[in-house]
Order: sequence, then C-alpha cells, then structure tokens
Amino acid sequence: MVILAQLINGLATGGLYALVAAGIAMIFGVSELVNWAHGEFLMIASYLFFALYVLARLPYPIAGLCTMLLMLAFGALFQMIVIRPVVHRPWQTQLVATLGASIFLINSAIVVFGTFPRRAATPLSMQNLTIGSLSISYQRLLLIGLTLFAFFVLHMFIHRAKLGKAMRAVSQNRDACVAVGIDIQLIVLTAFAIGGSLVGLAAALYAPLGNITPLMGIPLTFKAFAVVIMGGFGSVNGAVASAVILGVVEAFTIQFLSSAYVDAMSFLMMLTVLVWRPFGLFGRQVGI
Amino acid sequence: MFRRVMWLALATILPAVASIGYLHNSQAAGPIKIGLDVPSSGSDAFEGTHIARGVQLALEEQNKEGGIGGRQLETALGDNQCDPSVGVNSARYLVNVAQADVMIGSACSSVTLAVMPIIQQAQVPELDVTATSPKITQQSGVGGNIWKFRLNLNDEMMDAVFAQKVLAKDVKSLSILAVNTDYGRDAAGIFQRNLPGIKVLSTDYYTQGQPDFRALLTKVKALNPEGLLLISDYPDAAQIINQGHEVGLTGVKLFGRGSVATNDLLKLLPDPSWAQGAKEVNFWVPGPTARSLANRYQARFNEPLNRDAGMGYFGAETLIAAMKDIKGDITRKSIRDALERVNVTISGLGHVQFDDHHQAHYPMYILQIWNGMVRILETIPT
Amino acid sequence: MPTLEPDHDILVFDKVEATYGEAPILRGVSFGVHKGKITTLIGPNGAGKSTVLRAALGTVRVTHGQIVYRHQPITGVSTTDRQRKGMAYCPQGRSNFPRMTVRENLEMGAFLRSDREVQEDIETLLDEFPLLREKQKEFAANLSGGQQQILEMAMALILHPRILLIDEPSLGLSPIMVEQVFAYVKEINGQGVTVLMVEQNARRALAISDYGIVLDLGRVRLKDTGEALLNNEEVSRSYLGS
Repeated sequence: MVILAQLINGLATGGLYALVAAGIAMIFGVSELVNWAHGEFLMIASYLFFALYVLARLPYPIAGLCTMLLMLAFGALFQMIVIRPVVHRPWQTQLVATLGASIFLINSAIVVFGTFPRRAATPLSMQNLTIGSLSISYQRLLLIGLTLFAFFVLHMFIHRAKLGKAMRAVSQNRDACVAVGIDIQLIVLTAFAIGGSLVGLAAALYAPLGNITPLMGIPLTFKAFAVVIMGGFGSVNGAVASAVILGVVEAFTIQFLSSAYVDAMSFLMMLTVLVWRPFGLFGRQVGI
Repeated sequence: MFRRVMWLALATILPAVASIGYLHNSQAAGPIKIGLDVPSSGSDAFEGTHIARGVQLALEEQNKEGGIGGRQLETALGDNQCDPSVGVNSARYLVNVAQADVMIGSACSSVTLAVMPIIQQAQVPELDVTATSPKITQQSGVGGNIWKFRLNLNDEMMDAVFAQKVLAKDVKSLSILAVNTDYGRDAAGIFQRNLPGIKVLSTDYYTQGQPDFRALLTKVKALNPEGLLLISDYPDAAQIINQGHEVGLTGVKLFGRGSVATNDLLKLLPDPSWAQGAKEVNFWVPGPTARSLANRYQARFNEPLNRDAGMGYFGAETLIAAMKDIKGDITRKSIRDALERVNVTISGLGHVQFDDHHQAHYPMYILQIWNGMVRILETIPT
Repeated sequence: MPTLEPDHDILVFDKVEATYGEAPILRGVSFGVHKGKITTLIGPNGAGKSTVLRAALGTVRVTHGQIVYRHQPITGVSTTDRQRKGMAYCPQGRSNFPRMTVRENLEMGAFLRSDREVQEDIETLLDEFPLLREKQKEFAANLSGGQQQILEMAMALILHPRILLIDEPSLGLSPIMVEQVFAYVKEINGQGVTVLMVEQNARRALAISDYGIVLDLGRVRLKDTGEALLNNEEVSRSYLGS
C-alpha cells in the first residue's frame, strides 16, 4: 500500500515538473533559449488563479480556464517584450534577460501580494478518497487525470496541427523554415504562449494543494531544467517522461533512503543520464 | 544575481565613500542610526519585514518624546536575504556606507555567524532578536566577540527544556521533520540528545519552500508515530499539516519549534482543527501583557502584531534603554558598553539583562493551538 | 541567339550592392532573369552567387540599387510576401525537416498556403515524383541525399512558384543523382517555372541552361546563353576548370 501511495505521490509531483518542463523544452526547441523565468510563470499563474478563484469568486472550472487563457496571453506578451529584443544577441544576453525577468516577476509579486503565503483551497482539495490505508484528495485525482489529458492534447497539437508541425520544423531546421516561409518569431511566440497555458493549467490544478508564494517558482525551474536535460534538450516528450520518472524516483528515495538526498538525487540522475546517454534519455529521436 | 553585481559595484567604491562617511559621523549632532541587518527579500522576507516594522514603531514613539539626548533615531536597511554571502555585503554597507551606530540582526543564524567577524572588526555593536543558533551565544561575550548581543532565547535553552518537560510527557514515539538548514539540523540534534525514553522513529530534512511533502508524509504515516515534531516556520508547517491531512496522516500529536503554533499558521489551514493541540516552545509571542503594544502596532501598520515584529520592538527598546544610560557621547563603543550594563524590565517581554556571553534571559513560552486560537500553556523561566 | 530583353525579365537586378556583416559581397550587380527560362549563376567560391539568391528572397539586406520582380521594385517587401508572390527558394545544403515524414515536409512546404487544395496538390506532386510517394511515411533523414534534394524541390513547388531560386542542387550527390536532379530542374522549367540556379558543377548546369551569368568578386563578368558560355574559351579556362 505504501508503495502504491508513493507511486501516486511521485506521479503527481512528476506531473507538476512535467507541466513546467514541457514549456521550457518546447521554448528551447524552437528558440535555443532557456527561459529561466519559467518557474515564475507558474508563480504568476498561481496568483492569477488565486485572484480569480478566491478574490473574484469565479467557479473553479471557469477560474481555471481563465487562468490558462490569461497565461497564454502572458506567455505571448513575455516573448514580445522580453525575448524579441534579445533574439539575435548572444546566449549570455538572453540568460541575463530571462533571469532579470524572473527577479522582476518575483519582486512584483512581493509588491502586489506581499510575502505572506496565499491559499486557494477548493472543495475537491479538502476531501479525500480513502481505500484502506491509501488516502488521496479528489483534487489530486483530478490533476493526474487532467495532466494526462493535457499532454495528450499537446501531443496531438504538435503532431497534427499545422502550427504544431511548424514548431517541430523550427526545432529541426531553421534555414529550411526560411525557405518555406515559416515565420520563426511567430513560432517562438506560439511556444511561449503554449508554455504559458501549460503552467496556467498547472497553477489551476496544483495551487489549491499548496502555498502560493512569490518564491514558489525557483525550485521548480531547477527541477524542470534537470528533467529537460535528462529528456534531451528541446524534446518535449523526453522532458515529460523524465519529469514523471524523477517524481517517482524522488518519492521512493524519500521512502527507502532519506529525504535529505532528494535534491542530490535529481542531479545525480541528470548526470548519470548525461554520461550514459549524452543526448538525453530519448536523444533527438523524439524531438518536439 | 543582479543584486550581487550591485553589491560588488558598491564594494569597489566603498573606500572613498567610507572616508566621507567617517568625517560625517564625527559630528555628533546628526540622528542616531540603527542598521537593520535583516532579510527583506528572499525566502525569509516575512521575518525581516516584521522585525523592521517593530523597530520602526519603537523609534517613532521615542522620537515623539524627543529622541535620545536631543538626537532623533532613524533606521538604515541592509537586506541580507537570509543568505550569508549577501549578508556579508549588506552588513559592510551598513557599517561603512550607512554608518550605523548600532545594528539589529542578522535574524538568520547562518547570516549572523557570517557577519560577526565584520562587526567585530568595525567595532559596531549588533543585537540579534530572532536568530536562535546556540553557536552565536558560544561565540559572543567573554572570550569571543564582545560586539555581539542576543535578546531572544536560543535553541539550546528552549529545545532541551521543551523536550524534557513537554515531549517526554506527551508521547512514546516521535518522527522529526526539520528544515534542511544549519538551524534545522542543529535543533534536530538538540532534540535527539534530550529525548530519553522516547523512540525517534525518523528524522527527515526538507528544503524550505518545497511544494510537495506528500512522499515524506506518506513515509511518516507508515511509521505510525505518536507524535510529529516540526522544526519549521509556518509556511512549511502549513504545507505539512495540509498535505498530511491529504495523505491521511491524522491523529498524530503535533509539536513545533519555529513558528508553528502561530496565528499565521492558522490562517493557512482550511480547517484549524487540523492543528488542534499542537504544542510549541517559542522565545516570545504576543500575549496578554503585550496588549497595548499589539493595539499600537495594529493602528500603525494595519496588521496584527506577531513574534518577529514584537521582537523587533523589544530589540529597539533594549537599545533605547542602553543609550539613555550613556553619560557622554553616543558612539558605537559607548552603546556597546551600555548594552553590557543593561538591566531593565521591558513590558510585554520581561526582565532583560545580558549574561557573560551576551545572552539575555527571560521566560520562554509553551504555546498550544486550541480551538482555532493560540494559547499560552505555560511560561518557564530560563 | 536570344537577347536579354527587359520586357521579358521576371526578375531584374539593378546595380545591387549587399554586405554580409561588414564585408561587401555584391558590388553593383545588374542582370535580368528571362521569364520561363533557366538561368545559371556560375563563378568561383566567394563570388557572391548565393548572396544573389538571398538578396532576391530578401534575407540579405540590399544597401544600394534595387531589385525589380514582375515589374515592381521589391525593396522593403518581406520574405514571406515575396514567397506569396511566387518566389520559391531551395537553399544550399539540406533544407528539409529530418525528423518529419516526407508528407509532413511537403505540408510544411505549403505553410504559407491556407487554401483547401493543399492535400490535392501534394497528391499531384507525389504522382510526379514517384520515389517520394514510395517514401511518404518515412522520415526525411532516411532518404538518400539525392532523394532529399528532390523532396526539397517538391517542397518549393507546392507554392506554385513563378520563379524557383535554387542553390547548388547537385552538392554532394552521386553522378547518377546529379543527372536525375538536373532532369527534374529541366522538367520543372518545362511546366513554365522560371529557374535561377547557382551551381558549382558549371558544365552540367550550363548544358541545361538557357542563359548563364558569370559572377566574380561581387560583379557580373559575362552574360550570355548557356551554350555560348560553354564554348567560350576564356570562361572554360577561368571558371569551368579545364
């Protein structure tokens, strides 16, 4: 029973990592730029959800949907304001731009919402499904289900929709994109918008289960970065799979080793993967 | 990172600025400067912000009465982010650029320990009001750093007593969850040494602010301890209690060390009964004797008084009491000497006098969450 | 011998200068591309041949002079708008999407089109290039170099271009594949598409070209029919490597 419970814990945590990591991987795939502010996207999304659900008292599904849509717009705006001016600059400039944006977002949240944590509990997050000694809140069942569904939709988008295929195209050959008339900036904007809406979904699903604080994004950025590397940089499927694996490994590390090794474990895993398979678990075979 | 670059830039122009500042300082007529060496951003920003407000209130009240010896009191902020490497720079800023006469801080033990050599070298007295590592006391006063003082009680003083007088009576088995910092690890060690007759089933460390405690709590649940000791501040403690409820970890007796039995924690629980009965030892909480201060604080900042704000206020009061006792010029040296002589009863806190190791002694509080409120179970003299 | 009459030129370069970074690449290039014909740009490495194609497409900034396309100056027209107006481009080297299927590559070729006949056109193209139909579900990376070059030409054709700008189509191909690629260029031209080609393999290219232009150090040295250039001794000596 403990093993099953830890498996579920791992899947749920891995799902959160995956929703953040998918955006980072997708953005890297099309722009070769690491968005160090992606964890802060989740933080902003969580406060947005808090504002819509707790302050504006919108019904949960509507607040969640609005968070996703607003984050879609936020991602696009972020690309236009922060990324576009540094697109043709060296990677150091891009690093400083996204890190600077992350600091700016954190401090904006402190100014607007203060440092005291906020909560946005839903009725679902307060009721548990209990089977024997296994206890899961309905909110977590919902989040596991919807996260799976979101990745199914994302997969379909990338492999079926014209814009999704164009994202893969940009990640595979930028010169060829110019030849066929794919506007790379538009595709990068799309990646930021989708990355934004994925963390919008993550916020709507996870914010009811924890504290909302200005600094909540920082550990997630690093975990997500680790799984993006594990999954093969720029590979969305690889990042998602690695995120879920990492979540489960963490849960079992806590159960059978020690909680003190959890963070060491994620980076040890990353290093092992890099030594064993330098191009990530899935190499470049899966690709965005 | 940007902040660090800024400090670096500051550090390079320091010598020039410092010499100007020195000349300025020799004119005694200006205001008395109290440096706030506290985190006002980063993961412990809530702590530093409240300390600063408490200090501000005390200074405003004293300034209304004409300051000290005709000089007004003012603060200078050096945000240490609860990070030793940042704290070293912000302390240098307070000492050399802002020309603080005395400092309050560093609020976080790891920063305090890093900053102590700096205040010793610059010969600036500094008073801690919330950092609880026993190492600070060991290194201060006789045979150590004569510029460092501590008002609040330390972990060694509180935890051993709490373990023997409370935990040992209440439970037979215990799991410990502690924040993975010097503070958390030291405190967990003190508890483990002082729990004879109690079976410690597990000791686990977590990262401050981590989003998910469920795997940890699932493990604890499977061990089925009678008690759970959280060495945590309220944001993490709230996560642990909420998520513990989610994984079905109920019916365990809760104990805390940090800021667990607090109103702040209760605000973060959907249902206060989830923390019913939780006991904690603390070096101070707003109780009936601090009602007047609580009202003034509420009127000034439109928020309830909490431990850190109260300690900030008492810290400033202690400094004011020391400075009032100075016969000649108020200087860094004379403030230090006066602090050693302090012998004063502070309303709401108790009698304050520093021992040979510059540690103040006043009663500690055993608190309990009861029916959605924090009540003082007992006070134990130190 | 046909002459270069402006009225028949679909694309005209008029004293075009272009720089790449700091270095000037084109130093006043003037020529016309005859509508419905194959014109090949030859010349040594660094002569600026590929830059001519990129300037036409608008991915290199023209600093002086102007380019006229279908009787209209196109300075300031975006690359995608030039493509929408019938300019197609096959860059040098592999310009397909290696981990997408042949069919997906063709769909990407039609990225600028939003009409409903794209799938129909892809079917037509697959009929025209049977080897692509055979491999339509394979990743482009699994095709041979020559097959990939043909795929790239097919990708360009799906926009129904009026002019095809093609850079070094024979680069790195086996002799048999070179033959086949040139045969396709000829066939595409036969369907009424003007071709402006850059080729190192100048002899083979001129053999199928109506016109040739010799470019050297960013300037036009000679313009003539392909046949005349092949028979020009100085050209042979200096540019055709014999």
